[in-house]
Amino acid sequence: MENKEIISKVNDFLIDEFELEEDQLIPTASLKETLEIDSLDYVDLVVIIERNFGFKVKGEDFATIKSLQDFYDYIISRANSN
Amino acid sequence: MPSWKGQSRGNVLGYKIFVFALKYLGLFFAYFILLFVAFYFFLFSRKSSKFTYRYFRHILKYSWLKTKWNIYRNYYTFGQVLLDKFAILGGLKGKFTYNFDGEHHLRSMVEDNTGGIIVNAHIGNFEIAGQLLERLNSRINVLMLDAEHQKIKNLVSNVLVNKDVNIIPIQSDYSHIIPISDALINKELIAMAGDRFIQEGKVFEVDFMGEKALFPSGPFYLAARFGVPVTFAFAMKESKTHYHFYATAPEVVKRYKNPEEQEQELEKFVVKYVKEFERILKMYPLQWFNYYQFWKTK
Repeated sequence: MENKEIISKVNDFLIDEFELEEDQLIPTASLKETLEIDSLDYVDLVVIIERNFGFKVKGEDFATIKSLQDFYDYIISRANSN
Repeated sequence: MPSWKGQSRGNVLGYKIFVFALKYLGLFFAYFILLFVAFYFFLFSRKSSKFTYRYFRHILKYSWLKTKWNIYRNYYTFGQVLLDKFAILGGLKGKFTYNFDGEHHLRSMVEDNTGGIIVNAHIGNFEIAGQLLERLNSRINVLMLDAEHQKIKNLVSNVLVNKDVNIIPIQSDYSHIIPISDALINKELIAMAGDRFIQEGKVFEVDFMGEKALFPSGPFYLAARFGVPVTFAFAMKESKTHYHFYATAPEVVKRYKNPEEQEQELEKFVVKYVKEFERILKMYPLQWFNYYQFWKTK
């Protein structure tokens, strides 16, 4: 999958599932503070990632994901390594 | 907004004294030492006493004198519960007797392989419920909100001998979501408190013991998300060595696509939980262990 395609897919589910607006999706935005994704949203996030990209998120991966860009990078690297 | 700030009552030295006393002097001698330790807390732990004062004086409407006496008794009972927890986790289960109301409900969750969420509270001795339930022959996961007290946790893990109890500590990076998801997908049981939340958590404002308080929707959202039932369970101390375990019939929290309908469903379950919590607390008013601003201030 192309990086652009992955980013677009991520943005789509953030808009659809978490009721975010397209203009909120700035790569530097913090998932927790800016996009207000809370612990229960993370439950959905984990399920959606598995469904859309076919890999399982590991607990330790969460430590490195702070911003939306971190999130894109993480999905890209995991999706491409599968 | 009144929320739990992450501190647990007591410190590492206190826990070490408890463990030492239990190991070398026995449970009843440890209870004896506790009479003085509780008095120390009664005299010097003004911050937490302020909150228990509000509970006894304004929520339960006790007289001033009865309130003071019960603040002391509350510290003593809390100490006993801690000692019992260490004793039971350390393998001294035989010293205690138990009776169970509703154990069959939990048994059915295990036998029917539904898994589920056991919602408890910071009253009585909810941490030992998992140990008491080992006879269900199922792995019990216990979600602990006070994981940042890592030193205490390390100490606790040293006395944990039951491999069927898996502690899931809540982490600030939300990585605890993974073991929770795994456990619920595998249809295991998870015990978690329904009376505390962290600042960013979703909450409902509900009448509790006559005043408004905030309760998290998290346990019920997880149940809806993973399609597992919930039960409300409490383990209450009835005498020096006797515990009474209560569990309600498991119920399924429906999942809705419509966020408003989902909110209503979650609120319905929070209210149900609060009613059961209130019923149990009224039977054991001394076993209230939320040492922070629990009720909303007017």
